[in-house]
Amino acid sequence: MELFSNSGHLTDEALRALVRGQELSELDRLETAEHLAYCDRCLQRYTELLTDIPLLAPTSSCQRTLWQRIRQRTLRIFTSRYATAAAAIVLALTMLWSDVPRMIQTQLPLPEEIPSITEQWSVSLDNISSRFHTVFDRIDELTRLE
Amino acid sequence: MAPMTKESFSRFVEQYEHLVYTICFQLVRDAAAAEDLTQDTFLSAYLHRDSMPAGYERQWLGRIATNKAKDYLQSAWKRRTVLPGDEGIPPGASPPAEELTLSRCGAAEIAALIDQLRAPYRPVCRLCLLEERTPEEAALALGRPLKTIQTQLYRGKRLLREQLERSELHGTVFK
Repeated sequence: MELFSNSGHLTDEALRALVRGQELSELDRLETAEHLAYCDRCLQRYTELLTDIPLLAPTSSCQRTLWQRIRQRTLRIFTSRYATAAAAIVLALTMLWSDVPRMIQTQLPLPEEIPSITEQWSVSLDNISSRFHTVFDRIDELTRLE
Repeated sequence: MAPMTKESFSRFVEQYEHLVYTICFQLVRDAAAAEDLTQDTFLSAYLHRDSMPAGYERQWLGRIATNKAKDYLQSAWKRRTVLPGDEGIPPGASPPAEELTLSRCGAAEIAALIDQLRAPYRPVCRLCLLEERTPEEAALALGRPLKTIQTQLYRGKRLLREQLERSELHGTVFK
């Protein structure tokens, strides 16, 4: 059986064999899946053929375990973002504090264009606060979707 | 399109579960694997629900399901055909055996071998091995994803090697 026509698309025969559950080798099914994964035209033909046959039913619905997995995934995304935000805060504070003793020690007069420590603090706190806002906005969004 | 709530997504799963399971089963021919792939399909659908095109849910889900089935079949195929030690070789980078065998042939011999290949390998091998196009260029020319081109090139080279070995065994002369 020819799986592909000269135009490079799946033949009607191949699609019918797939739908009727006729014996296709594993390589045939792999090549078919690879083609259906990107070809809109063949996927359309395939899903249209599926409207003419009774669909198969799984032994048990995936609903219950699906929601468990969705919750786990959402939690993982949330914790990963929270950990990233926390790491960013720690890094920002470490960098800021490591600069303070050096600046005091050198006792060099600060040029006008360099912001004062108070200003730097204020900017850093603003940054941290905006990161917190982003995190909490995301949490709100996730909770709303849940 | 209104954002999907848990209830509306549950209804969506209920509506399309049999379709997705049928697609997965017809491709992998294994009930347990098809059930797992059905769940993977809906998990992906949930995570990318914002990009679902309204009115084309069937095709959109069908595309995700065939992709899941393709990944499953590809890894099962690799497990069976990749020799120990070859695991680190990325798809598209041919193992030395194929390169060595093909380097022994002239362009005319390779062209004759490629003409005997079946679709979907023939155009990929013609472009990459005869016309010396890169997989990226072949992907563009054939309208296939790069990864598909890479796996088809890998498999195509393997088929060429097998064909060549058979020909050498039977003393076939290339025309």
